[in-house]
Amino acid sequence: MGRLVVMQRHKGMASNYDCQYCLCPDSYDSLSVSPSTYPFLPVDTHPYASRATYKDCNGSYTYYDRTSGSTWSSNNTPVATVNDSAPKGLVTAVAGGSASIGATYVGIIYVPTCQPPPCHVPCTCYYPVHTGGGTANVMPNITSISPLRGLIGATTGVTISGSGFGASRGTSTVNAESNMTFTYNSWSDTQIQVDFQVASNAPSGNHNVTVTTTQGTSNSDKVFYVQVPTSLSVLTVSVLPDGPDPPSGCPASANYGIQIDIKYLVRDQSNPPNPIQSASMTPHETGTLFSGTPYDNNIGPIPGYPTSTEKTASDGTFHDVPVGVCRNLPISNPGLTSTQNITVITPATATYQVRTQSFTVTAPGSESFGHGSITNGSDISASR
Amino acid sequence: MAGPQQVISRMIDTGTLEGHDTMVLGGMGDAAAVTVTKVLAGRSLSTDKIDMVLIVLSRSFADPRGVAVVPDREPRTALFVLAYLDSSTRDAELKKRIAHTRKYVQDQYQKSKKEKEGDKKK
Repeated sequence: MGRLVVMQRHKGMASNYDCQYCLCPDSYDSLSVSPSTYPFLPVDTHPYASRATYKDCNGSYTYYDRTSGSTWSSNNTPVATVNDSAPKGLVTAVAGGSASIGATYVGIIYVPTCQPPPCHVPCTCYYPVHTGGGTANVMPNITSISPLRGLIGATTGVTISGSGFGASRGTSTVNAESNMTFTYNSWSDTQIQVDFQVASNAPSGNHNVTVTTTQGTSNSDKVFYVQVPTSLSVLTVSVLPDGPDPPSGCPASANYGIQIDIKYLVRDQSNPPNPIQSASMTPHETGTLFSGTPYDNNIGPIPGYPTSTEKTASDGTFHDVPVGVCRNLPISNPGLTSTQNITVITPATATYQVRTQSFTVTAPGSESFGHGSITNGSDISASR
Repeated sequence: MAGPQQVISRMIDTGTLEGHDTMVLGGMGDAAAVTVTKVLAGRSLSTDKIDMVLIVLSRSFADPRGVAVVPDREPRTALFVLAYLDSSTRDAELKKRIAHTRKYVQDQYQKSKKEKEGDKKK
């Protein structure tokens, strides 16, 4: 009880306020919960708190923490749970999505029962229930991507592992920056199986991958590497055995020279280069034959030579067979030479040059019958 | 780019088999035998030339299933050519090689027919 006088000399204005003596204790007015919203990753925890507001007869407010006295609940426990026992108000994220976190507290309202005082029972109590609420948003989080790489101009099936993706896809999306489209094969809160369709004009190299749900966008530190066919490495060189019919090399009637089977692996642009493990590349060649005639054709398949195929195997390998020349006369030094320019064609029909080389075959002198040598001057050499 | 007749002509004339030739011949089947008759027309047959013809025919029938023109999967002209070559020589070893090629092209054709019938039954 008392009087507050405010004096403001400017232009002579003044005000005063008389504080009454309150007959009843402060009354429970409302309950609020904080934080109003919080971005969780699955398995994270964060404490929520409830605060009760009390008002006295003069309209002044006081606030009291009621976290341990409130009753706590979540309306979506598959997404987030909240402790209703000590420590009360502790929210735990479970899976992707949104949950409303509520606290309920029973307070007391005091109402003066007789006016003017004094009264024997000056105040009547009422016990209203107020509820406050906040939201727990469980965000998506990517922990791994497999495979980490894929061919430009082709489709790669990718598994994205993590948490918080949501039980079903709904409007959620995967993104990997530019020039990629996605076909979703399956979706769960912890795993997404999606086809990455990489356009021919997609930038090569790293693409940051994210998952976006109604709760937000995930971390972006996981990358998918777009591979461009850049080179071939030689895995094996095998001399084809003599014989009259495929898959043999030189027949007895043309037994000067040599024919070989070369197994290549397509590699990408990185340093050091990585294999491009894709079964969808078509190896192609142009050049001039040992006879000097130009040629332009796919490298395979060659009838009668089972290692020869039209496209690469799933590990990115292919065979060039038979390579070489057989003749019924000696092949004098410096030998016969052919040129070869190998390219790789992706499913989007883009062509990438991967190797240029020349082969020289020699079988000098009549003593070379049944013999021959072939070399490209670097990583391919064989003799029989 | 060399067509099939140029490839076969070069093989017979130079006695040379390039790896690339097998790709050209492999899709021809009996059409290769027809081309051989054109190339050999009016020419004398030497052992070397006959041996190159055998190489042409064996590679053209390496996998008849891959021959696009279905009638060319059957070695009809090929058997006629082989019979003619056999009658053209008295070389016993050469006759053995001709017989080998005859058996080879017939076996390859029969194998391709059986595999096709097996695919149908599936």
